Amino acid sequence: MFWKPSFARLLSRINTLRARASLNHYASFQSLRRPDFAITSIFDPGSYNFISVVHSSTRKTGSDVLDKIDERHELLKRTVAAFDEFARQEGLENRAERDHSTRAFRIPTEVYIQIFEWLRCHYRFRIKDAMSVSHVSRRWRDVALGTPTLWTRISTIRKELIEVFLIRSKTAPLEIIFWTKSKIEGEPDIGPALSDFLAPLLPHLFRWGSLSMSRVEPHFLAPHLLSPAPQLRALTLSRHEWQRDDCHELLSATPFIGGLPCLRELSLAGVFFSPSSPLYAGLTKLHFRHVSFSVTLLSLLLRTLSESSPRLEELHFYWKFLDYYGAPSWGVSGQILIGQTQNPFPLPSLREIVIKGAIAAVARWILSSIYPSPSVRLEISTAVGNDEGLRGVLPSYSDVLNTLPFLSSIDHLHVLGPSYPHRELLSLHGKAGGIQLLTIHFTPNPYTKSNYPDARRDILRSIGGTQTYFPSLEGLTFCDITTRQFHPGGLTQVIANMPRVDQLAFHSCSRSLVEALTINGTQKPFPHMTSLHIHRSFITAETLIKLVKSRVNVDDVHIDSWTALQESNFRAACIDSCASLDTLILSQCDKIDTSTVAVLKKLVRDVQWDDSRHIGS
Amino acid sequence: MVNLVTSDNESFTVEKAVASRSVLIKNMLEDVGESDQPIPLPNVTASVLKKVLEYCDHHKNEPMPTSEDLAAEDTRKRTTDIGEWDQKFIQVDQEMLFEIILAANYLDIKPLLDVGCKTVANMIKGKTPEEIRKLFNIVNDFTPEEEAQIKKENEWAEDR
Repeated sequence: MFWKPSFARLLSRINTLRARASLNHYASFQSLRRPDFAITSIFDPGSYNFISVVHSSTRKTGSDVLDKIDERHELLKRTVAAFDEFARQEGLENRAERDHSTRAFRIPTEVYIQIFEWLRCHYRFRIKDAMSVSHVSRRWRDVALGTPTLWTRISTIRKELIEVFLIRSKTAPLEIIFWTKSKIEGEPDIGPALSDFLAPLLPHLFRWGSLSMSRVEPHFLAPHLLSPAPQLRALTLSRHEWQRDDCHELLSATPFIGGLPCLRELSLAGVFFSPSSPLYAGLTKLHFRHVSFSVTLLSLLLRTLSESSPRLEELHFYWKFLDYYGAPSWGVSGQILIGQTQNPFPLPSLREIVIKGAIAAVARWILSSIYPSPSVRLEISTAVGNDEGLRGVLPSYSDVLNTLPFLSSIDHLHVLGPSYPHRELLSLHGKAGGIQLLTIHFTPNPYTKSNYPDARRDILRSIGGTQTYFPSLEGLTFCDITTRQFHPGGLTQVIANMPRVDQLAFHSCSRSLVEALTINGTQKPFPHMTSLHIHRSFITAETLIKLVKSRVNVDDVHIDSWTALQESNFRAACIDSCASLDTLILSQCDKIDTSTVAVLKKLVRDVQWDDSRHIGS
Repeated sequence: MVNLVTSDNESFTVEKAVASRSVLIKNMLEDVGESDQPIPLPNVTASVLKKVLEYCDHHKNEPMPTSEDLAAEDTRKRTTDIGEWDQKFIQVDQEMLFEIILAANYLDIKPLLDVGCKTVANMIKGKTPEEIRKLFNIVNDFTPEEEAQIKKENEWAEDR
């Protein structure tokens, strides 16, 4: 205990006296015939003792008594003030001493700096987090203020705070984010707000590392950015909002007068710079949202990228109104009005192509116009029209020869249309050998529901079946499919023939479909399945345990634990040719609980369960 | 094999590949050459070293981060995501977490230090100063003047 025993008593006493003095009501004192302000000693911080003894045995009345009271009251106030100051100082040191003994204190400063730098890397880092760590204690504040990167994110905050951040970030590259709420009719223009925001930042243009402007009309921005930004690595420009009949804005003036030698990541939404702009040089990531290209513009852009961004790794296109944008020049409903590019543009580093929302003709044209890296990841989400098959989404026949053998995966091949995609898959026979992962995701079309079971079965037949069209396929994901929609009964042999599928996932599929594709029949479907992921399902504990038991090697588990499962006649149904289930991932499975997971963990080596539910989530 | 002796005098005999995940030990082994002499680790207790060696053993076949990797890390976008195995490994009480961080720092095991620092960063994320104090048993030792400055900063932040 830090406090000396006498000290604690004195504190108590002084508090009592202070309470009395604070009454400051002379009448009350006067009413005391023997006013008991018997301060027997006055506290001396230097000696830890009381130094004065004040006895008031003299009985006086009238002004003498009041004068005495005044005098002693003043003395008391000074004493209390002296004690308060002493207690505060000693208390701080004492608390600091206690802090020294905590585990957190033992962490050296350089490690704290790393912790704060990692905090800054958190994908949901906010300015408030930097403020919080600097408001914990003196030491944390010292470390936080000595970590410049913690203060580099500057968003729409008050000017005073921007100045603080600019000082604390020292010379570190800044991450500048301007965001404003949606424009509402009658609301003041954002021009002045943008000017106010940029004013303190423009003198630091030389250390801007990234700039993100959201919902800002580009013509507001252009007059401000008239000098080079030599450290800017990422630029995101997003227009205020898009309407269905809007057209993107083609910017002729290049911000920063093109002086962006370090620019690597460019993201444009609703705005587009001329393909000849120097901004497209040296990029590694290029994302477009809601930009409608004409054939000519896109062709010029791809040429520019091929020539000036040989290290481009990501190319994303996202159209919001796919039935409108670009339709006149590209053709709608799969009627391709343009010719194929004769010489695809090489982009040897391109590892990821994402095309979402574009009509199939556009997606196809893009894919046929570039030569990506051999290990490109392709993500396409598009609509397939009635008279159009997957051919409209994937590259055309000639493109299949050129591109598909290089594909290692097709993620999210969303088949949205009502046509017969199996025909297209069949046509890919022998051309899509490299595909290892495939997601089958159907969105019912209200006009052609009756065709759906057939279409789905056919597509599965085209993946598996006696002839294999995807010999390298290792993973299949079924999304939003029910047994009634799929009729898997006749597909056992087809599924069993899939040579290498060992990863199976069901997202929002019916319980009966999971059963049908994993445990039904005498021959186990997907015999090589070692990994199973069930997401958003009402699969019951009994069904799941039955499934798992049919997939585990009986010698690997403790038989005793099974007796608790109330299946006394259980006989391991594991077929010799069946691989042992090694990984089971359960997410948002409402009917699975802790006790079920405990049983499953005795049967499967790796069980991952998130203990979450999807009802109400 | 390498013999490591902890501060509480417990010996651990481990593969050289495992021990060499620590740059400190690796350098010591290189300096000393082939020797049966035990390597004293006066800053690490047995319980902590056991945990650290578990990490080193799991990652023994991974390439060691080079100085070029570390330099590239500055330009690459860093993430606080932690691998699945590492996440399970670091699910320890707070005392052990800080001991692991201290040991990783002392033994110079950068990937393990990163896992520890990321874990603490994830614990801090989104918390108020008071919640952080409570979490780590830290005392608010700000002077009234400092408190006033903090209050002002909070007002600036809350203003928008």
